[in-house]
Amino acid sequence: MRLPEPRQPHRHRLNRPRWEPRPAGPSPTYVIPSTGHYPPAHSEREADQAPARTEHHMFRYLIRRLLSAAVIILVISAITFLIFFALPSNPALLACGKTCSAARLAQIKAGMGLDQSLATQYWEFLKGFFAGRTFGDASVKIQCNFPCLGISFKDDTPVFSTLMGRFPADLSLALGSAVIFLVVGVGLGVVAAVKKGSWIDKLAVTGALVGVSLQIYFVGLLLMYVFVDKWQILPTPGYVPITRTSASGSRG
Amino acid sequence: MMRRTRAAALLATATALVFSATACSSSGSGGSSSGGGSVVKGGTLTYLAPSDFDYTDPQRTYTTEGQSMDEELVRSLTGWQEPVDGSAPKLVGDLATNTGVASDGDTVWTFTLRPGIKYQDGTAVTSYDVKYGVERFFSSDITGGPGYAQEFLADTTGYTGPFQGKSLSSIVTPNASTISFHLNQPVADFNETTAMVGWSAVPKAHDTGANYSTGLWADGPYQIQSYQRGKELILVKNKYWSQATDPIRNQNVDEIDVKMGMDRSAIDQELEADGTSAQDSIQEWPLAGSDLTQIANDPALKSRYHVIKSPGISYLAQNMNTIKSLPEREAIEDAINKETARGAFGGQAYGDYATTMLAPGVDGHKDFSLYTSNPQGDIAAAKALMAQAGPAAVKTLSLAVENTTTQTNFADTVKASLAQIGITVNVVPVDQANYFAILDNTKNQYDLTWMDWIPDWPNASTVLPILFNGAQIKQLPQSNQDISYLNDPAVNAQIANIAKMTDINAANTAYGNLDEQILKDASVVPLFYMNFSELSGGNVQGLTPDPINAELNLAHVWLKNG
Repeated sequence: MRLPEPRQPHRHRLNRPRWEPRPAGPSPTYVIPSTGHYPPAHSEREADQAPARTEHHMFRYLIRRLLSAAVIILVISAITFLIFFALPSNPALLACGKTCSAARLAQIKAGMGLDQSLATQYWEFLKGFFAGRTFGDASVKIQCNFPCLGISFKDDTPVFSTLMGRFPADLSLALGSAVIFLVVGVGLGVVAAVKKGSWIDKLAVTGALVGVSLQIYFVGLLLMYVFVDKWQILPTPGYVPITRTSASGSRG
Repeated sequence: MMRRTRAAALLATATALVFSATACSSSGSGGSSSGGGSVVKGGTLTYLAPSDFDYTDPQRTYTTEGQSMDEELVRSLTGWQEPVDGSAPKLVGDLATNTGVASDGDTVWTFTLRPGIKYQDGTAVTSYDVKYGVERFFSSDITGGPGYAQEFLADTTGYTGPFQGKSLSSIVTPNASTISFHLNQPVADFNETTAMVGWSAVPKAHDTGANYSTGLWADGPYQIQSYQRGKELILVKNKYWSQATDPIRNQNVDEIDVKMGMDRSAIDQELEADGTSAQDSIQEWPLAGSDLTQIANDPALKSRYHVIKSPGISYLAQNMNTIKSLPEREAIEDAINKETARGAFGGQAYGDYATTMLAPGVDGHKDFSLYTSNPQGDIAAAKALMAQAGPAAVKTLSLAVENTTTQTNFADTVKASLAQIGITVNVVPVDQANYFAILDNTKNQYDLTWMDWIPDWPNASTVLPILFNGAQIKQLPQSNQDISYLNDPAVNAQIANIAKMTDINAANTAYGNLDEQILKDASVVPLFYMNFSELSGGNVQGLTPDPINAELNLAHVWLKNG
């Protein structure tokens, strides 16, 4: 079956860059001529006007993007917040201990602020992120400063510092994968584009599709099984701090 | 009271003694006997833990590993003296000079503090600090701990802890070395409650509230040098601790280094190999079921292999709400093949076959067997009982287990057993991390449920009234421990009766009979009296199995090449 002709009306607009490209004129020169004077005024103005317009557009673009990013973060935080409450979880009960009386449970619930309305709790969370919050109202105060993501009901440490504790591992994974996707991904992409329709193009596109469709928790286990358990080419993965040695760091 | 992650306790009786004595003498034969005066001081003991403790805050920890580690940092009013020779644990005064004096029919308990006990800064421990420590149990920020202070102390209504300057009238401190607890009911074994680490001193000036786990102010032989939650805890000697004041512990190693976050089986393997880094190490969690059979039977590992007889019971709860026919429940008792079931948990090393809910190490234990004593089961008898149940029998049953290989393998053995008497079992694997939180909620009921229980101290009072008091189902809908939903008026009445007894021997006898009475309802299938098995590194000496905490006792530990 043939696909219907794709409609084209927006194609041109979509392909146009959002801001004007730098015009192909004489580029400004910063070499001071032997005369000791700056280049002629007209050429300087001509060269500078276009970038000024570009920067203006760029600025607006950035503002727009930052604003939409902030809205998205807000929406995501609200949804995450709601999901937490939609799930059958009860932090007060988990914190309470094995033999938990109703009175004790109510006391801990109030202590955690879980007796407040959802809207109040979310507002406190948002406000606390910027303004900081004080926990431990019933005992010794624990200050949680900006950016305050709350404190863990399990170990009473600020969530932000827990995240930061894990950050080096995230960073090393991100850097490692960036190297791979930049070199292999972009490289294959370029080759596929240049040799359109060739077997290498098809292979790259198929590979990309498979990679996108199958999730890491599936592919990861599969790769571990093949490389570690079956062929025993690689050791069992474990995290080695990136600061230690680069060779063992790439194992993780 | 603890389900596993293993909070506290049992007293070693004859059987337990034989075992721990064997374990001890075999480790002694490998080198110098720990009791023989050849103890070497110094060195760093490494403690390999898969994860962080729940808390080290003494009023908050409610796991066996947390209690056990805290005993090195904190001294409670009473404690269990566990000699290196492996003889039975004995209740002694720890902070207190003796095990307490009861008056007014066991409703008032008075303790006198030993002179000369000091915190890590050299200041003296007072009874006021103990009162303050116990009052912390009531704060809504001090969560997670046992509920005995709330349950036993008088006049606690509306009390929310000591932080706003309020104190509890039922704890009386006439002077700096005397403390009395006024209870709302007679508690004949209250001085065993006070052996839990929360019944200890916290100096108000150093209390950091919800963060006290990392800032704990020690009066035991060790103190916290540094604590990165989830990563590493380093304990060093408390130089103000004095051996002369402590009948329970020694201070042999210079440092205890708790390394957290290692994979559990990696720890097993490292200790088994006993490489340089593992020789000064012990493990927090018991050997995994998959490693157990092989390690238990390896003669080369014998001197480093420890079996801890816990006072715990592993059992199968039968839901009284759904399996209503008594003959059917009795048929299930007879049909379960405990031999294959135990194989799934790691075989003989995992524990002895159980026929009672009170383990042999628990005071009040009575030896009886109402159903078949053949561990392979008695299918003929079970079939006859099923015939007797007739159409009242439910032929399809759900079975809840943890979603681990060990437990699903166990579930398969139950399925095979019950298939022989015409019952189809649907296995429901439940998230291990939240297993007890989910099953303790009365909304989540299954026909059959795997459970375990380790008492907080080795008395039947911490087992039967908690697991079988039907009156509690409605009171604690989210933390119900009566998983078989037994609500037998006769059992409830007898639980209330025994609680009033002030003669602890009479109470223990009555508990033994109650255990038998409960088993007549066939609401639970006792499976195994649980053991925990651990390996230690080649240099580690002076370890004794602690049957109270179901952990290896660190009180006398020392290192050969320290």
